[in-house]
Amino acid sequence: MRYFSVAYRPLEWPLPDYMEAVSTRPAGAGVTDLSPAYPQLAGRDGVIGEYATLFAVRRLLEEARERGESSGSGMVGVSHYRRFAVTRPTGTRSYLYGAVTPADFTRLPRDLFVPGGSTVVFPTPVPVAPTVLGQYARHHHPRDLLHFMAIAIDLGVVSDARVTEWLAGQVMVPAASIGVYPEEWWVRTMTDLERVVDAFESTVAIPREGYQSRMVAFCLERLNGLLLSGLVETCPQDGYLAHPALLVSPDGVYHPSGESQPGTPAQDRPLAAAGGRR
Amino acid sequence: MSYYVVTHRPLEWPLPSFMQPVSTVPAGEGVLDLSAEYPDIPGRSEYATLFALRRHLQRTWGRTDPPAGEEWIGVAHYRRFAVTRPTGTPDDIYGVVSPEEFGRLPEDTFLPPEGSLLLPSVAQVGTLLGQYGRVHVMRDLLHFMAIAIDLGVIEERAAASLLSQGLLVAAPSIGVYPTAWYLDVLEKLERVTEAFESTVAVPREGYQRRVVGFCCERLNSMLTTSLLPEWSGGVLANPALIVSGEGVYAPNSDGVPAATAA
Repeated sequence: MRYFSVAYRPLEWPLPDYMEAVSTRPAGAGVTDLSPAYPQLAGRDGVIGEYATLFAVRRLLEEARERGESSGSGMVGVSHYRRFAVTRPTGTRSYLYGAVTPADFTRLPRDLFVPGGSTVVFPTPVPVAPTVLGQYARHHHPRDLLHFMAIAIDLGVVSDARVTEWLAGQVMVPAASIGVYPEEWWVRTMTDLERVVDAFESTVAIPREGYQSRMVAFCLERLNGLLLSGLVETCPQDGYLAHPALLVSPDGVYHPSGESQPGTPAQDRPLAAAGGRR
Repeated sequence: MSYYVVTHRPLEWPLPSFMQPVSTVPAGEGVLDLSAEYPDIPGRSEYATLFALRRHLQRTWGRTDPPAGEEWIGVAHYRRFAVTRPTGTPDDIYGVVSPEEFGRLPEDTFLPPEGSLLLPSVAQVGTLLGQYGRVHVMRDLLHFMAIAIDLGVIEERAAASLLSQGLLVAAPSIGVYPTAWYLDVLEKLERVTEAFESTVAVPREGYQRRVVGFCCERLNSMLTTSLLPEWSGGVLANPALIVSGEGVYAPNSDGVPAATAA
């Protein structure tokens, strides 16, 4: 199984050797910059966040498949810089995460990140209020999400009924891009998400400044969570593991970042309305 | 003030003399037919006629703002009327009367005291998003609301909040309102409708063919519920009156649950 770790700057701690650090911008030694191979994704992380690199990884996996290279277990793992989905609760609870120091991180065993067989691993869903749409509106521009979800339906990526249930519902998956998934599902999902992004950007997207410049990443997080919920429904009850995501933090606690700290990943924005989970 | 009754066919019962029936399809004697100037557009439901009425009034006045004596406007929709007190036999979200009973109702059933708003009761429906998605096509409302935000018709956080709440004025086009406010709402709804129809609208069959009417109803409801907190005058809101030959509310021919068929 291949396990990719999306980076956007040089890593401050060593990754286990079974994780491949990847980016779509130069990010220092040890990080494979995929942008020369997929120039259409270079520099797009400013708007679509970690998905720029994930869309590149999707191409990488498809090309490997075309060359007849086996993916082994048929699963693929993804982490995002300092965030990791884990097979059991780990670290000190801090906001939505379990936090560990870099020193602790290096001592964690492989099976904390790589489950056996076809088990799916993803971050624990969290409650939001008053609805997913309402929660989105507290932090971002809801017109973006309305357009984005409407386009996703129009492209057949998701059904009308599922979007209704999700946007009017009170649960979301923070950092929905990380985890361990069936490769076939993951490749199809990344393909679908990219189709929605392309349609959104070519029709109704409005460039935004500062923190909100990553508006597409924010929309993607919501749609990715919705698509993930569809996968989970098809899993047997013992076929998935969901725990608070692991966060590597130099002082072992989560520090929110926001508009005053450009260049931080989309999910670093606190989920202030996440049902008192802070 | 003037009071208009939007109709799409000849009326089966006489209206009080202060009510003027109006249509955008030929609808028989006594009905002001605006179809020559403003043809009916399928899918817009009663809003086709209301958009035509707004244009007709402003053209007749020769100005955008209502002249003296026309500061208030009353609107009913075929067999639905906003009423100043609970009237008729309760049935679903309506009060129902027979045509004979309707003919005997006093004028002040339809005309509120001066300075008071009159509208149908505000219902609680869970969330507007969820309620719409249960009975219509969600992508239509998502596109429609996103366009409304883009056109500045509604502020985006207010829209998200109202869509997440459950306050719904069923049949928000009927009632008695300040004319300037009501025509402004119609102008806004028409702008959104035209942008929607010219970009992302998908023709639909059967009951769902009235997609634009359904979306207009939700946005109209949201704009109406936004008016209420800032309204300093009186407000009268009762279950809308339905005129029914059988004396009971009969869901429309599409078999859609009554409470959702505005």
